[in-house]
This record gives sequence, structure tokens and C-alpha cells, in this order.
Amino acid sequence: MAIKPNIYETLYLIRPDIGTEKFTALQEKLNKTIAANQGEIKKNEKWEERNLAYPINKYNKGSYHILIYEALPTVVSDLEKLFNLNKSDVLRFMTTLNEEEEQPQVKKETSQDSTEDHTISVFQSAVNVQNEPVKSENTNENTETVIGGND
Amino acid sequence: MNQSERRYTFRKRKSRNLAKEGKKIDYKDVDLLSQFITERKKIMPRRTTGLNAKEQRKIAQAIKRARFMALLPYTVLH
Repeated sequence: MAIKPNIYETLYLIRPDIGTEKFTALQEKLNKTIAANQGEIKKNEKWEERNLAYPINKYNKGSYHILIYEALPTVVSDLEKLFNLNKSDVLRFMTTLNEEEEQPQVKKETSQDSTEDHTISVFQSAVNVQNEPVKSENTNENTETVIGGND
Repeated sequence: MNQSERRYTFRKRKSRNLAKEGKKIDYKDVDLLSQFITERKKIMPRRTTGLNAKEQRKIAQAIKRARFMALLPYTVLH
């Protein structure tokens, strides 16, 4: 079973006093952990610098950074460990999974099918419905043989 | 009996569908989420928002995530 990489998105909050040295060191560690899990970074930006809704560790302002990357699922726990080790700098973080939705396209394709395909699909669905009660009867027979046991 | 019945008659509910409006529910979208919290920063009930059950659950989850990330407050007393 090959494990597929997924697209993740992490938003993390950094205290405003952080110096450029610590910030670049943190970025390097992030890049290392993502690369160690066969990852590619798609976006690494500053999202906002704003007032917080409530004070965290006596800070009223913070800068949010967003990171979008594609990597194996093992990257999530590694990044959490990294952020937890730097709790003095990284105040909050949240990782979510980005799922691409393609369902509306599928519905459009089925509506464009020709009439012949539609009738065939209706016939097949009717045939399947007839088959289902037959299957249930078979299961009943199996249970009878098991319970009876007096063959 | 007639007076109590009159008090509990409700006006017609306004329904709202975010999928039809083309809006995705994301905890980072503070402008969208702030439409669903009261003045005291509580999550509005479904009878006020008019959303369907699935979207109401998603909005509630997004508001809780936004509160954790300090994008929205937990209470007015901060």
C-alpha cells in the first residue's frame, strides 16, 4: 500500500517581538521537516499582522503566517513537535487538510449523456434491484444450515 | 389558551444557503463568521441563522477554530 501525499495548510501565530534571526531559524527547521517527509512547499507567506481577539501570553498583537504544502501524513506530527518546542515564539498553530472538490463537474457529465446510455443505465438499475432480494434469501438459507446443524 | 398560542407563533423563517451563494466555510474568513455571532460573541442558533443542519455544524466548528486562533473572541469581557 503506497501512502499518498496530501495537501495540508498550517496557520501559525508568531509573537511580534520575534527577531529576524529566530524567524529565519524557524523557517529553516520547517523546510527541513517538510522535506524529510517528501514534501513540497507551495506557499509560505505572511497572512496578516493584526490585533488578537484576546491577549495571549500578554501579547495583544501578533503576525499570522500561512504555509501550504504537500507531504506524507507523517509530517503533521513532526510539525506539531517542532511548534511545541518553540512555544515561546509560536503562540498558536493549526493544521488542516485541503480537499479539492470536483463533484459539481461529475454531475454535469451525467446530464450530458445521450438518451441511449440513460435507458441502459435505467435497465441496469432495475436488474440490480431484482437481484437484491435473491441475495437476502440466500443468506437466510445459510443461517438455517448453520443453526440446524442436524444434517 | 388562545393568548399562549399567540405568543408562540413564529414569523416565517429566513433560510440561507451558503453553498448556493458560492461561499466556502473557512475558519480564516472572519467577515463571514462574524455574521453568525451575537453581540455577546456567542454562536447564533440555527433558528436565527436560517442555515441547514450541515452548514450550521460547519459554521460552529469554524467559529470554534477561529476562537482558538484568536481571530474571534470567546467573550465580550476580554
